[in-house]
Amino acid sequence: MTYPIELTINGEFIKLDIPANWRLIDVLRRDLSMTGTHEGCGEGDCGACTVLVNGQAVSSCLMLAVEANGCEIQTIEGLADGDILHPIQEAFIEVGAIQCGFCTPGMIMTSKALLDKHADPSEEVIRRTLAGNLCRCTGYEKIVSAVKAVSSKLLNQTDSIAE
Amino acid sequence: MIQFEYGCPGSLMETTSILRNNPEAVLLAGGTDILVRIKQGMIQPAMLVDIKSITELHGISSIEQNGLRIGALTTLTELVENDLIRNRCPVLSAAALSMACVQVRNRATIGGNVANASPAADTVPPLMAFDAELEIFADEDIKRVPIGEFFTAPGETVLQENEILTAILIPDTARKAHYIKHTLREAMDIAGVGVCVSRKTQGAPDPRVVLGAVAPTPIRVPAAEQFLSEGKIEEACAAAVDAARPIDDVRASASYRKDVIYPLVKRASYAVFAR
Ligand SMILES: Cc1cc2nc3c(=O)[nH]c(=O)nc-3n(C[C@H](O)[C@H](O)[C@H](O)COP(=O)(O)OP(=O)(O)OC[C@H]3O[C@@H](n4cnc5c(N)ncnc54)[C@H](O)[C@@H]3O)c2cc1C
Ligand code: FES
Ligand code: FES
Repeated sequence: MTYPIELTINGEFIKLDIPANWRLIDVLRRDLSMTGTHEGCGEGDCGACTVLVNGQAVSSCLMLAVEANGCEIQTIEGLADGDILHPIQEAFIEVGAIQCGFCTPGMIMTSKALLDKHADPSEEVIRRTLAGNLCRCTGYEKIVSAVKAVSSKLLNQTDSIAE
Repeated sequence: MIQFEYGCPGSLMETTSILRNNPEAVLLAGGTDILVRIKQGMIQPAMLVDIKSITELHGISSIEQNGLRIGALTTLTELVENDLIRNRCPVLSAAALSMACVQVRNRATIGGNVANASPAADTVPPLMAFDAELEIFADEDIKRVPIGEFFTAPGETVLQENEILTAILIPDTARKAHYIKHTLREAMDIAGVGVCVSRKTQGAPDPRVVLGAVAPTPIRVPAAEQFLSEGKIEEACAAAVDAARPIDDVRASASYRKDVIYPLVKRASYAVFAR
């Protein structure tokens, strides 16, 4: 048996018919070939599958696709504007916060949810927020630096708009 | 993942009738426990009944003078951020913040944490330290069960198959409380031992001492509470150690758990009784 769902993914309205046991990550990766969202553990422990659901960071391996009916989903594919990368993506590259890249989409989506809410989080808050995103390569320092760099950049932008 | 059907009822009545007609159905709240158990092959439900569209199960409100009613579907993130909870029962916000990671807290619910009945569930010791009551929809009626009578064994509760936990009630929040979650890792870890101590902010202290993860269910220790009300903190700590029945598991050995209870109860007691 399949279930009809309607949702918005990166601003695009989509209708699907899916079995109840498909998780949100299955729809993204298998049905829609959006393979930017990665699956590490499949059990909520690693954060590689993080997407935003109605603006909140969520593990897409712990959410059924049927539960996403009516929701607004943002994935890593939706961040860049054509060839222009999102400031968080830019910062990760500039600072060197990416090695193998497996954790990166999840790291960036969790950081985006944080920065959308708090323009200037403390290092403590950044580290606590990223606690559920595991990285086997970087040792985390550069990831935290990248998030700090982008928050000061975003702040400067809003300052100059205000001026 | 195994196959199952999906239901998304809009009311409690509709939910109970689905449950009655589908004996193999299981309720789905945030899914952060149940989807992991399905993936690991520990359960094979024929149907998941998603209760998130039922409006009565959402929301946090104040009741009586000092009380709180916390809808079963309140997420851990809401417990962390909600002003009523932060002001009246900050220990519950702190316990929620100590749980999992932001991605899980955004989905996981307090009702799921309670109904899942893990001996290590982090919201439970604070709730027991406030004499919380559970509001349950049963046979088209609402009943109340003291949280101390709810858990029967690991993963087991008095909840019947077609009953739904609708809210958690804290009749009186006028208590000072401190929860210590003892873990081996700083983040993303389940409690090896949990300790919550509380006392009334006015009149006789009427303390509560609750231990998590050291017995088949979270437990209150009346003997320790009696000592605390007499100001005997060391004796209270020893009574808590005596009451614990911990097991060996991947997180800690039983003897390690026994060893840390004493200093944890001491620290929590000082935090609550310090002037
Ligand atoms: C990575 C990770 C880390 C975690 N860390 C912690 C932690 O630090 N501390 C901790 O305590 N837990 C932790 N958990 C466990 C889990 O997140 C919590 O127990 C959570 O609160 C469960 O809520 P839920 O809404 O997701 O429950 P669900 O998975 O939806 O449901 C859990 C159980 O309760 C039943 N149920 C749910 N709601 C109701 C209701 N209203 N009435 C009757 N029955 C109901 C369901 O049928 C199911 O059996 C963690 C889980 C993950 C994946
Ligand atoms: S794949 Fe979802 S948290 Fe690891
Ligand atoms: S860059 Fe390799 S896992 Fe993080």
